[in-house]
Amino acid sequence: MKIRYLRDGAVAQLRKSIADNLDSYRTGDFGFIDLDSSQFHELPVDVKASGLGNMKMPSGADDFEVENCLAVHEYLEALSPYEARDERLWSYLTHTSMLQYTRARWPIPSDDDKAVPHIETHFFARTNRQIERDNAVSRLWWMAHLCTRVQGVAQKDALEAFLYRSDVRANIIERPTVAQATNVFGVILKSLIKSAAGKKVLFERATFRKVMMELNSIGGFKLLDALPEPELNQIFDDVIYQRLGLSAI
Amino acid sequence: MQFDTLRAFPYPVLRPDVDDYIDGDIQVTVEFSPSNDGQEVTAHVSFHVSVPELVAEVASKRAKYVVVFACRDTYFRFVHTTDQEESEVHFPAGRLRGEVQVYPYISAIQPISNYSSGWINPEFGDGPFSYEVGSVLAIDRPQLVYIDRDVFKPLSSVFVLVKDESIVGHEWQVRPTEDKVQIVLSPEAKERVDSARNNKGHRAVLMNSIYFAAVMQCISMLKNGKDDAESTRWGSVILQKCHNEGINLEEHDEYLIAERLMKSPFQLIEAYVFKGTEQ
Repeated sequence: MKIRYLRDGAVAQLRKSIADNLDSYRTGDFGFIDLDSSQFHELPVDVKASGLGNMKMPSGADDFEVENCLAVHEYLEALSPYEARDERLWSYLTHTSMLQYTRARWPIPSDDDKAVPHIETHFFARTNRQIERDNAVSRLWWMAHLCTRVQGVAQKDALEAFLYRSDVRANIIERPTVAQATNVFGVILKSLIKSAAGKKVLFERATFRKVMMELNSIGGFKLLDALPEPELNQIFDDVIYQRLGLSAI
Repeated sequence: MQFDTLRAFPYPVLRPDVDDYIDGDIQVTVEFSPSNDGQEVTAHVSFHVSVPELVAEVASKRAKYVVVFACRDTYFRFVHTTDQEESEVHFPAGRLRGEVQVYPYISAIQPISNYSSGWINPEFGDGPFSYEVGSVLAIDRPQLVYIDRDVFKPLSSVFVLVKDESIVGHEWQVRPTEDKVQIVLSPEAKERVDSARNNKGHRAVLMNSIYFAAVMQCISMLKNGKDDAESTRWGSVILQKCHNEGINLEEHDEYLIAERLMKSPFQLIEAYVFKGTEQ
C-alpha cells in the first residue's frame, strides 16, 4: 500500500469539525476517509506493513515510546524528511490506521471544551512544534529520524538514551543547530548512551544544561560542524572533565 | 556559528562591515537549481576573496572554503568543504524544504601558527597570528533561500483552470483557495483555453492576458493582506519566489512584480506571435 495523505480541504474540514466529531474521536472512527478517494492523495512510495504490527498500545505508566518510534519509522521507512514535514500525512494517520494508538497515548478529556484543543494538538500538525512534539505519530517518526542519522550506534540504544529524560530531549530539540549538526548530535548522543549505562550524571537537568551552554560557547568561535569526530570528542571530554570538573558520567 | 559584526575574535577574521582587515572582501554567492526530474537540487557555490594571504592558506591546504547548509524543517545540516573557488553540491530533493540558511566561511583544517597579512588592522599588533583547527579566518553574511518543489516550478503551476456553468461568455474570475488559485471560466471558454495551451503562440497570449492578470490579482491580495493570503499554499509559494528573486512586495507595483516573477512574458509574444505575423 502506498503512503497516503489527506487533501488540504479534508484536513481543513476535519479541523473545523472537531467539536461535531467528538464521538468519532472518542469511540468511533473516520472510515469514510479511506473509502473516498477525494479525501486523500497517495505518494509513489510504499509503507512497510510489518512496522504497524510492531506498534504497542500504551499501558499504565508504559508508553512504549522506544518501540513505537522504531515501529513508525519502519512503517514509513521510505519517507523523506521533506515529506515528513507535511501535516496532511500525519493527520491522515492519526485519523485512520493510528487512530486507536492516538486515543490510547493521548486520552481525550471528557470535558468537551478541553477535548477540542487537545484533539487539535495531538491529531493535527500545523506547526513545526506540533510535528516534533505534539502530534501522536509524527513525533515518533522525527525522534527516530534524528537518532538514525548517527552512525555506529544501535537505533534502540540511541532512542533509549534520547528519550530517557524529556528535559534532555527538549534541550537538544529546541537547539535546532545542535540537533541538525549530525556530528555534534552524534557525540552528544553517544555520551548520553554511555551515561545511561553508567552513573546517569548527564541526565541531571542542571548538568546537561551546563554542558550545552559550554558547547554553544565553544561553537561561537569554532566551527564545530566542520570538525571530525575525534576532535569533537576531545572538545566534549574537555567540557565534561575539565570545564565542569566531573569525574565520571 | 552566527554571523555577528559585534563579536570580537582574539585574531583577525575577514568579515563584511568589520575592520579586522583595513581592506579586503569576502563575497560568496550560492545559487540553487533543480534537476529536470525534480529529484535533486544543486547548489552552485562561488567564493571571491580579495586577501591573497587567505587564498594562500586554502591553496596550501591549511584552510578550506566551507559552506554550511542548514534546513530547520528537515533537520538537515550539511558541511561542504572545498579548496576550489567554484564548486557544486548536490542534494536529494527530499533533504531540503522551506527555509534553507547558507553560512559561508574560511576555516582552518590544520593548526596555523604563522599567519600574517599587510591588510590586517594594526590594532591587532604585528602578529603573526595562530588559528586552531576549526577556527574561522573569514565569514560572509548568511543567505536565506526558500527551497520547495513548488517554488521551482513555473509560476503558472499555482493556478488551476476550472469551469463553472454559472459563468457565461468571455467572463472569467479568480478564486483563490487554500491550496491553489482557480481561474474560473464558462465550460465553452475553458475548452477553448485548454486547446489553446497546446499552441505556443496561443499560450503566449494566455500568459500575457489571463495569467498575467491573475498573478497581479494574487500579488495585490498579498500586498493588502486580503483573505489571509499569506497563509495559503499559493501565497507562500509566491512570497518565497519573491524572496528568492530579491523582490520586495512593498517597493514595486503589482504589474512590475508580475513581470519579474513571470520572467518578462511579453518576450513570448515577440517570439511566437509577432514573428509569425511579420510582413
